[in-house]
Amino acid sequence: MASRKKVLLKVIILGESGVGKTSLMNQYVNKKFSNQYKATIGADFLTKEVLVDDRLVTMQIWDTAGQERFQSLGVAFYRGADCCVLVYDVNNAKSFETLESWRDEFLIQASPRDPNFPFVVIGNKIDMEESKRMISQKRAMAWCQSKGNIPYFETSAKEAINVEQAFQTIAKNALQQEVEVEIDFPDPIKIDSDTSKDFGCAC
Amino acid sequence: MEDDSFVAQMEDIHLDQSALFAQPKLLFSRPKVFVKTTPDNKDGMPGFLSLIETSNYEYIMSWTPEACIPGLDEDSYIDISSQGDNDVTRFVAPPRSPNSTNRRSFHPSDYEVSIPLQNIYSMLVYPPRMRDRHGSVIINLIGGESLPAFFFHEDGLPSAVKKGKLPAGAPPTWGGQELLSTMEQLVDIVGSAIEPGVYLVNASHADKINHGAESPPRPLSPKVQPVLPLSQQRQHIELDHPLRDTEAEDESERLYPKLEETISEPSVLYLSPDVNADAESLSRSATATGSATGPITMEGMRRRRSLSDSGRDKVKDGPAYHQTASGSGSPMMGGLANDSSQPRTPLPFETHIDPLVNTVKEMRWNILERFSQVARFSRDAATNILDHPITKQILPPHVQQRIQDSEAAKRVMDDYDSARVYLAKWAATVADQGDRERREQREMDRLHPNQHGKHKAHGQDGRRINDHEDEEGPLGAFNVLDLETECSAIHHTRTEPLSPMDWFSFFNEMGCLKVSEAHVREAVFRGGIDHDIRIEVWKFFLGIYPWDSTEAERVVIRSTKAEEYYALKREWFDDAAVQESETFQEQKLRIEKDVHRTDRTISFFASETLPNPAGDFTGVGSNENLELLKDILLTYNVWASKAPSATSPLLSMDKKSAASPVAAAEESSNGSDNSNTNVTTPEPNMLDGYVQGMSDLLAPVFAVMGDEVMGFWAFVGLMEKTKRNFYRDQVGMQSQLETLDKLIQVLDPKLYKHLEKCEALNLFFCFRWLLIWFKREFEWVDIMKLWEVLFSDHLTTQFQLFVAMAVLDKHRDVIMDHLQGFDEILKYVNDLSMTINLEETLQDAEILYRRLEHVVDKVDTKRAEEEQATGTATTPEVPTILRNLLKTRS
Repeated sequence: MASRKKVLLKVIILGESGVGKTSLMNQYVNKKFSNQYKATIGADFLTKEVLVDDRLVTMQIWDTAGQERFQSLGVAFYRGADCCVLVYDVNNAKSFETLESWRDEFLIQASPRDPNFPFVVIGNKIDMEESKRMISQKRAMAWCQSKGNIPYFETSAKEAINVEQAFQTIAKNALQQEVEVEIDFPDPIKIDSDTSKDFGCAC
Repeated sequence: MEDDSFVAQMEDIHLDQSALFAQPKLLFSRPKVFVKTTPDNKDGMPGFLSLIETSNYEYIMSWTPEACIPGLDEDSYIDISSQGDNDVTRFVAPPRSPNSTNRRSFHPSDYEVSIPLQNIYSMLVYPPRMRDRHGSVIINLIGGESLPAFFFHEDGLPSAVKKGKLPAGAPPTWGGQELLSTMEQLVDIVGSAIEPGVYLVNASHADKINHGAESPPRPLSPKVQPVLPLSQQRQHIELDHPLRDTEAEDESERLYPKLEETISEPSVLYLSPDVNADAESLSRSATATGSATGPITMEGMRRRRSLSDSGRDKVKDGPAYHQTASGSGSPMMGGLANDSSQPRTPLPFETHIDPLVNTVKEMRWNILERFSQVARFSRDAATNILDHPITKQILPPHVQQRIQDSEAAKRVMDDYDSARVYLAKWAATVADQGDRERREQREMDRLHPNQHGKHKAHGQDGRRINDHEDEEGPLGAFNVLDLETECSAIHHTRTEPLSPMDWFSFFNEMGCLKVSEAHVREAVFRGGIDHDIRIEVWKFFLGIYPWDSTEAERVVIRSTKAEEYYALKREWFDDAAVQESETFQEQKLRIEKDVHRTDRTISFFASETLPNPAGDFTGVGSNENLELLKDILLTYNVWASKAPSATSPLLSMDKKSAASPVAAAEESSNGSDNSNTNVTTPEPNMLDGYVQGMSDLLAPVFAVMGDEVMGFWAFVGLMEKTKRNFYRDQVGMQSQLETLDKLIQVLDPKLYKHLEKCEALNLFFCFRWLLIWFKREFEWVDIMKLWEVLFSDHLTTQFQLFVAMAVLDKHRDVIMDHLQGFDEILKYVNDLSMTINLEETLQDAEILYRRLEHVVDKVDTKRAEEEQATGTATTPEVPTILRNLLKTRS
C-alpha cells in the first residue's frame, strides 16, 4: 500500500475587529465577498488545499474574534499554529497600532518554539479611496522590517486584490514552519494487492 | 537469517511480478488528459490516460502525469495516441505504481493512477458542452471510491490525434468517447437509462435493472452517441475480419438506428464475461454467439445477464437491494460492493424524496462507507481526507450544480469540511430520523400516560443505560443509577403559545395581574408568547413593568422611562466634548462596525434609506433603525457607567442627572442573572463599554419593542440577565462553561469522557451559544421563542445551559462516533447553526432539567441512607454549582 503524506498547515488570522479577517478568509477560500459578515464570535475555520512548491498541503485557516475581550480563548485556538497573519485596515490607524499587541499576545499564548515564528502582515481595504488612507505603505513596511522582516501585503478582500498572493506566502512560510507530520494515508487505488503488501503497518 | 531469506523471497516475488508486467500492450492512450489537483487550479495536471493489457491478460487503466513519464516512453504514448487503431499495440514500460518512498508531500507521481478495469464499477461521462468545453470522465470503483475526473483537453494535441483518420469535415473524436469505445471492446458496458451519462461496467443484473439499462439508453448528447452494450471478445481484438451476424446487425439497426461509426467497429460479439471470469465462462462466451455490429439483441442481453448473474450478483444479493431508493448504496457510485457484510435496511425517509436528493444521499452513504474503512487513521490525515483530490470528485461538479437547484438537496449537501465533520453531519441527518421516531413514541407516552412504561428505554435510550453501567465516571455513584428507566416517565410540558385572549384574561379591570406571576412565567415557559402580545408581555419579563402594576401605573412608567432615556441620551448626544473624546469615538466606531453587520437580512434592519454617516463601510448604507441601534448602544454605555460600583466610567458625567438606573437594575434583575448562587449581592460592574455580541442581543428586543425608548429599556433588562458574559474578566462565561461541564459530567459521563479525550473540555464550541443566547444558532423567529422561554426563569434562571445540554445530547452519538478533536467538534457545532429544531430542543431541555433533579434527589437519598447506616456518606455530593441550577427564582 502506498503511503501519502499529508501536511496540515494551521494559520491564525488576528487583528482588530472589522479589519476584514473573515472577509479575507472567505475571499481566499470561497472566492466570495460580503460586506455583511457578522462579527465573529469565538472562532471558526475553513480549510483549503493548496499547492506549495509542487506539494499539496491543506491550510486550516482560523478566523478569530477581533475584540480583545475574547483573547482569553486564544490559547485554545492558537495551539499548533504554523503561521500567524496580522491584519489591519489601511484606513484605520488604530487597527495598525494594535498590531504589535496582537503579535505579542500571540507569542505569549501560542508560545511557539521557533523564535523566528512566521508572521505575515496584511493591510486590507485598499479598495477605499486614497484620501481615506491612514497608514502609508512605507510606514507599514518599516514596522514589518523592524519586526524581523515580516512579509507585508496590501489587499482588498472586497475586490480580491492580492489575496491569493498573500495566502501563497502564508502557506509557504507556514510549510517551512511545519514539522513534518508523518501520516499514513491510504492509497486510494490498489494496483496490485499481491505485490504491495504492507509489512510495516500494525493496524 | 530467517529475516534475510524472507526478504529475499519477497524480492523474488517482486521480480516475478515485474517480469509478468514486462511487456504490456498499450491499447489506448490519450495525452493532455488533465486531473485537477486542487479545486481552484484551472486546468490541473496534464497526463496520459491509457488502457494497457498486461501480459497476463489483465486490462489496466492508468493515468500518468506528464511529469512522470520517462523520456523514453513518451514517444510511444504519443505515438499510439495518434494512431487511434486498436490493432496497433505498442510495448511500453510497465505502468508505474504509486510508491511509498519518503516524500515529504504530494508530488506529481502521487496522482498516478492504475487500476484493473475489473475494479471499475461505473463511469460518468460528460461530453464537452458550452460551459465545459473539455468534457470529463469520472471513474467510480467497486467499493465506492472514485478516481479524479479526467478532463480531455483537445487543444495542444498532436494534429494527428485531432484529425485522426476521420473523414474530412468530421468533428474530432472526443477523448472520452474514444476511451469508452475502446473499453467496451474489453469489458461489458451498459448505459444507464435513468442517469444520462452513467455507464455501468460489468454490471450485475440488479444494477442493470436499477438503471433501466434494458431499454435503449438515452443518447449522451446530439454529438456523442450512447455507448451500447457492445462487447468484443478479447481474443478477437486483433482480428481484422470478424464474422458478422447480419441478423443481429439488422435488429440492432432497427433498435438503435443512430449508432455512430466509431462505435460500430466490426467485432465478434460475446457474452461479456467479467474480465476476471473463469475460464469456463470465457470459453462459453466464445462459442455462444456470432458477431454483431452495434449493440447486441435483447436476447443476447438476457443471455449475458444470466451469465453475470451467476457471478457478481451473488455478492450483492441483500434484502435492501431491490430499489434505488433503498439507501443500500449508490448505483452511480458503486457502493454496493461492501454491502454483503452489512446489509442496510431501507431508511423510511428515503422512500418518498425526489430522486435527485436520493442520489445525493446515496452518494453520501458511499462517502460514509469509505470513511468507515479509514476510521482508524490518525486525526490529521482524516481531517483532510475530504480535500483529497479523489474525494473531491465524489460528487461530480455537474451533480453539484444540479443539486444547487434543489432546495431539499442543498440542505444535505453543505460544504466540504474536514472528513469527520462532514461525515458527522451526514450521520446526523440519518440519526435525526430515528430520533424523530423516538420522539413520536415519547409524545404518545406523554399524551397517554396510562400506557407509559410499555415503550420505555428503547433505541438510543437503551444504549444510554449501558453507558451508565459501564462507565467509571468521576461521580462514581451516579453511574449506577438506571437513569433512563427511572426517567422514562419524565415528559416535557410544552404546549401552545400564550394567546392574547389568555393574556388579557390574566388581568382584572384595573389592568392588574390577577393570576400569580409564577403562573404567567410557567405559561410562557411552556409555550412562549403569541407574537401580537410579545411587545407587551416582554415588558414585564424585562423589568420595564412591575408585575403588580396597574394599567394606569404603566402609562406613567412609559412616560417616565421615555424621560429617563432621553436624559441619558442627551448626555452624549448634546455634549460636543463627550462626542469628541477619544473613548467615545472609539466606542462609536466599534458600535458602528457591528451594527452595520447585525441582522441585515431582517427586513426591519435591511433597508438602505440613509447614507452611512460613518462612511467607513463602502457600499453599506444605513437606515433609521440601524441608527437607533447605535444610539441605544451608546446610551447603554452611559447607563452602565452609572450603575452601582461602576469601575470604569466611560464618560465623565454628572451622576446626579441620571435617572434611576439603580432602581431599574433592581427592578429588572429579579435575581435572574447568571450567578451561581441566587444571592443578589451587588457585584462590581465590570462592564466597560460595548462588547461584540451586544448588538446581537439588542436587535431582537428592539425589533419587538419597535421604538427607541422601549427598545433601550428592554435591552437593559436583557443585559441584566446576560451582562456578566461581557465582563472584562469573562467571569460570566467562565461560570457558565464550568456549570455546563458539570452538567455533562453528571448527565452524560460517556460524552464527557469523549470530550476529555478530544481535549475539548474547555467547551469553547459552546461559547457563542452561551454568550449571546443562541442568537447565531436559530432563525430570527425562533430566537424570540427561545428567548422568552429563557426570560421566564420558570425552572431555573439558567435554562440556557439545559438548552445547550439538549443540543449536545441530540448530537452526542455523532460527536462520539465521528469527531475526535477539538477543531472537529468546534467546526461541527459551529455548523449546526440554523439547523437546530427549537421545539424539540426545548422539550429535551426541560426533560434534562427534570433528569438532573432526579439525580440530585437520588444522590441525596442515598447519602442520607449511608449516613444512617454507617455514619458517613460515601457517595459524593452533588456539586453545589449543579444544585444551584435547580433553584427556582422564588
